[in-house]
Amino acid sequence: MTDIGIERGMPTLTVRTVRVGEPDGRACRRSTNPLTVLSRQHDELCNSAVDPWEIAAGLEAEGMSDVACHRYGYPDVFSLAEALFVLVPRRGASRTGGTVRPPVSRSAILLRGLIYALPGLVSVEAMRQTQATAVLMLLLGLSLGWGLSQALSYLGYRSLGWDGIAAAQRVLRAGLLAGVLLVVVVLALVAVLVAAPAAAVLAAMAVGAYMIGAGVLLVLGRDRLLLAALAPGSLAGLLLLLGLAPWARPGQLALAAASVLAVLVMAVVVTAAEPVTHAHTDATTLNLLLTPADLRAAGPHVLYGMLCAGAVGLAPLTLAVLAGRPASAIWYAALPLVLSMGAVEWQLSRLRSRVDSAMRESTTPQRFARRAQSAFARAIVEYLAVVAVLGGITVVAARDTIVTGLPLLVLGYSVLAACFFVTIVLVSISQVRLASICIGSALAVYLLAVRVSATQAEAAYVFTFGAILVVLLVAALRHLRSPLVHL
Amino acid sequence: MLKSTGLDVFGSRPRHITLATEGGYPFTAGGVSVWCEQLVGSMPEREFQVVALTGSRVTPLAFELPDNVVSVTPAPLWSAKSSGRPLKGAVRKQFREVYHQVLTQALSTRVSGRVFSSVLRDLYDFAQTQNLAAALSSEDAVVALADVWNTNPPGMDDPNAHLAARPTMGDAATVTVLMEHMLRPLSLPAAPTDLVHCASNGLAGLVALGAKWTHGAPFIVSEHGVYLRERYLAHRSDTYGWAVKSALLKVTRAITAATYAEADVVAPGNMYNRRWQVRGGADPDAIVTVYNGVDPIAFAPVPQEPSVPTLVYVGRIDPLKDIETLIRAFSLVLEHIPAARLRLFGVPAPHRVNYQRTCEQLVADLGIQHGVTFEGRAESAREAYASGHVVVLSSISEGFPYTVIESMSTGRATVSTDVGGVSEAVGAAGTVVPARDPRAFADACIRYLEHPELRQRTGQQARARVLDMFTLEHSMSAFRRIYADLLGEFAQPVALTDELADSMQLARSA
Repeated sequence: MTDIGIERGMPTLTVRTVRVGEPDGRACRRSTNPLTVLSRQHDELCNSAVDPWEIAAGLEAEGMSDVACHRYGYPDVFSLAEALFVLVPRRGASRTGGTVRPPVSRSAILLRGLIYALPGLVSVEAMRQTQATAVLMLLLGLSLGWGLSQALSYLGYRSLGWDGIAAAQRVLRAGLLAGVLLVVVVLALVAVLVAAPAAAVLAAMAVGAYMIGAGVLLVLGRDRLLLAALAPGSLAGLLLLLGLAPWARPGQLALAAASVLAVLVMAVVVTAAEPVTHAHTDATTLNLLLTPADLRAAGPHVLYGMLCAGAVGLAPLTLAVLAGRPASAIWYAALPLVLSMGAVEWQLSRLRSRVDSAMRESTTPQRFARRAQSAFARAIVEYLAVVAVLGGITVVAARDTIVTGLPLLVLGYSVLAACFFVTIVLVSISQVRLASICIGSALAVYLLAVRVSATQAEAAYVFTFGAILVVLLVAALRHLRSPLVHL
Repeated sequence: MLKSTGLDVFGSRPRHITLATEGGYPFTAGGVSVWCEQLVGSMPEREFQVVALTGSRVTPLAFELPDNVVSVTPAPLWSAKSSGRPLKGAVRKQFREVYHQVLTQALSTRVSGRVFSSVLRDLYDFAQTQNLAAALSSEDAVVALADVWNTNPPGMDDPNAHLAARPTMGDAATVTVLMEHMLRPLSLPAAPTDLVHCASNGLAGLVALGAKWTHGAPFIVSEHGVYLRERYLAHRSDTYGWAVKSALLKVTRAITAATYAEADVVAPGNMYNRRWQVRGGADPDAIVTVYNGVDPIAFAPVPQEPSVPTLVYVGRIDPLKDIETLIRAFSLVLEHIPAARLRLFGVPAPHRVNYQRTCEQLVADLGIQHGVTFEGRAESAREAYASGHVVVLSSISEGFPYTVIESMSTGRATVSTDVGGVSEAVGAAGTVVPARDPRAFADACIRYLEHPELRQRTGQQARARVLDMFTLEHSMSAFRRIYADLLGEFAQPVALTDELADSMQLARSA
C-alpha cells in the first residue's frame, strides 16, 4: 500500500517524495523538500500573492529573517519569496471581490410594503378633511416630514457606512429631535398666519413627526418595531373605513396619536447610542459626525422629499379646492401608488442584485452598460405591470360611485408611481439633484396648467408627469451605464 | 529640553519646512506621530508647515502645536468628494490620455520610479488646473482601466497565474474609486516651501513630489516601517478581489518608487528597512539611516531590582507581538525557576481584544496562571521596565522598537527576537533569538535570571549603547544636518547648541 520514493538533489534541496495510499484509493504526494514544506505552511500567502514582494512581506511578518532564509538555501527573504512565487500556483487569484449582498427576503419586502401602506389607514380620518387650510396644513406637515426624513436617512446611512452604528445612532437622534422641533415650530407659525383649525395643526404635526421617526427606524432596520407601532392606529382606521368602528371618532384619533407617539418613543430608544469605539471611527462627537459639509450635502435630499410630497399632495389640494372634487375620492385614487410600495422594494432589490452580478461578471464597459440598462428596463416594466393591475382594480372597484375624472386620476397617480420608482433609483446613484429638478418642474408645469384650466386638472396631471417620466427614464438609462455609480 | 532661543540663526527669513504626514501627526496619536512631535519640537529655529493627510474627517488635534508650527493643512482623503461638472472636449481628451499613461506605467511588469514620476507629473499638472476628482469619478476613468487591463491583465508577469479570474467591471469600479481617494494629494494647492520632509513614503510622497515640481523644493523621506511592505500586509486581510489587490499594490508600488527615485534623502529608521527601499527604487547613495532615539534622562537607569525573578513585557497585546511564544517560553522558564513571574504591560487594540483572551486561555491551558499577570496599560514605561529583571520582546515583526531602546536606556538586559531592526538596536548589549522559538527565548531569559552579574553588565552595556547611538539628540541632530545640507546652509552651528551639549553631558553622567 505504501510506496516510498526517494530522490536526491542539492544538499539543501533534498527531495523525498512519499506516496501514501489514501483510504479511498487515491494516492497523494507529499514532498518533504524544505521549500515545499514551507510553501505548504504559507500556502494561503503564496497562492494568493500578487507578486513575490507580497510573499516577502508576509514571510517577514511571520518572523522570517534573512538569516533564517539560509536554511532553505537562499541568501535573503526576497529570493526565497521569488522561489515560492514560482513554485506555487496562484489558486487564490480566482478570488473575485465585490460584496455579495444577502438577498432580501420576501417577508422583509412584504413588511416594507405594509409599512408604506399602513400610514394611509392611520390617517384615514385626516384625509376626510376638505377645508383648504386644513388640507394645506396636512400637506405642509407631510412635505416637511418627508423632506427631513429623506435627508436624515441620507445622513444616517452615510454615518452607518462610514462610522458605524454608534455614530449613526447619534446622528439620527440629533436629527430626530431637531427635525421634530422644526416641524412643530414651522407648522405652529404657519397655523397662526393662516388661522388653521387646531385639530388640523395637530394632525399635520403628527404626520411630519411620524415621517421623521419612521425614517429613523427604517435606517436602523427596525421594521418590525415600526409595524408594531403602526398596529393600533391602522386597526382603528381599518374598522372606521369598514364602518365597523366600535369606538367613537375620538377613540380612533387617540389610537392614531398613540401610533405616532409609539414611533417617536421607539425612535428615541433605538438611537440610545452605544459608546463610539476608536476601532470604527476617528470622529466621536456630534460636531465631527455632522459637519457643515454633511449638512450641505443633505440639503438636496430635503428638497427632493418636499417635492415628492408636493407631487402626491398638491393634486388633492388643487382638485379639492379648485375643481371641487371630494377629497376622499382623490385619496382613494392614490391607492395604486400606496399599495405598490412593496413592489418598489421588491423590484429595487432585484435590480440591485442583477446590477451586482453584472458588476461581478461583465468584463467590458459596454457589456456592463447593456446588462445594467436591461436590468433597469425589466424592473420598471415589471413594476408598471403591478401598478397597472392595482390601478385597474381601483377603477373597477369604484365603478358604482360616480366620481368625475377618477380613472384619469388613477392613471395620474400610476404615472407618478413610475416617476417615484425612477427617482428612487436616481437618488440611490447620487443623482438627487436631477430627481428634484424633474419632479419640481413637472409640479410647476402642473400648477400653471391648473391655474389656466381647473376643470382639466386630472388631464394636466397625467400629461405633465407622463412627460417627465420619459425624461427620467432617459436620464436613468444614461446614468446607470457607469459601473462607478453602483459601488 | 530644548528651548527656543528666539534668535534667527541664519540672519535671513526662516526657511519653511513642510512636514507631510499620512494618518498621523498632529491629528492621530501613535509612534510615528510622537516622532514628528519630537522632530518639530527639537528645531525651534525652523518654521514648519504641516500637511496632514487624514481619514474621512478632520478631528481635533492630538498634539499641542509648538510655536514653530506655523500652519497645519488637513487634507481628508476619505471625505465625501465635492461634486464637479463632467469634463468636456479638450480637457476630457487630455485626462484620458494622461490617466491612461499613468495606469499603463503603474500596471506594467517592471515599474521605473523615474518614468512613473514623469507621467505622474502630467497628472499633477492636470490636477492643479482641473477637477481631478470629477475626472476620476467619470466613466472615462473606468474605461481607461478596462482598456489597460485588456492589454496588460493582472498576473501577466506571473508564471502561475493561469487560474486568475479576468478582472470585472466591479473590480474596475472599485479600483477607480480608490484611485480617486489615493490621488487626492495631487490636487492640493502647492504652498511655497523650501524643503519637504515626509514622515513616511506613500501618499505623503505625493505632497513632496508636488512641491518639488512646483517650487523645486528638495525632499527627504523618513520611514520607520516600510510603507509598501505594510500595504502588502494590510491588503492580505481585505475583501477585495485578486485583480483589485494586484492593481492597488502596483499603483502603491509605483508611487513609492517615484517618491524614492525623486527623494534627495531617504532616511530609514534602521538598516533592515534599507533592503526594501533599495529594491523599491531608492538610490543607495541617497539612503541615510537615522535611528530613533530616546530621552536618556526620562529613561535614566534604575539600579533596584524586584525581589522575585521577573520578566517584563511592555507593548500592545497583539498577534504581531506573538505573546503566545512569550507565554510558552515563560512556561519553560518556570520549569527551571518556579518562583519566576511574567508581567505583561499593555492593552490590545480595540479590534484585537480577542487576542488577549487567546493569550489568557493559553496561560490557563499551560496551568501557569500563578506566574503571569496582565497588568493593563503601564502608568510609566520606565517604572514598568524597572519592575523586571529582564525586559522581553517576542515580536514577529518590528521596525526599530522603542520598547527595546527605552529598556536599554533604563539599564535593563533584554531578550528579544531577531526581526526588523531589533538586532541593530541590541547589538551585543542583550540577547537576540530567532522568532517563534520558545526554547531559545526561554534559555536566554533563564541565563539572565540566574546570573546577576551578567545581567547587570549587560544592562550597563545597553545603557552605554543607547547614550552612544540612540539618544533623541543623536536622531534629531542628524535631521538638522540633513536639512541644512539640503537647504545649502552651513551645517555646524545648528547641529549642536551649547545647551544641548550640556544636556548630553547630564545624560551621560546620569
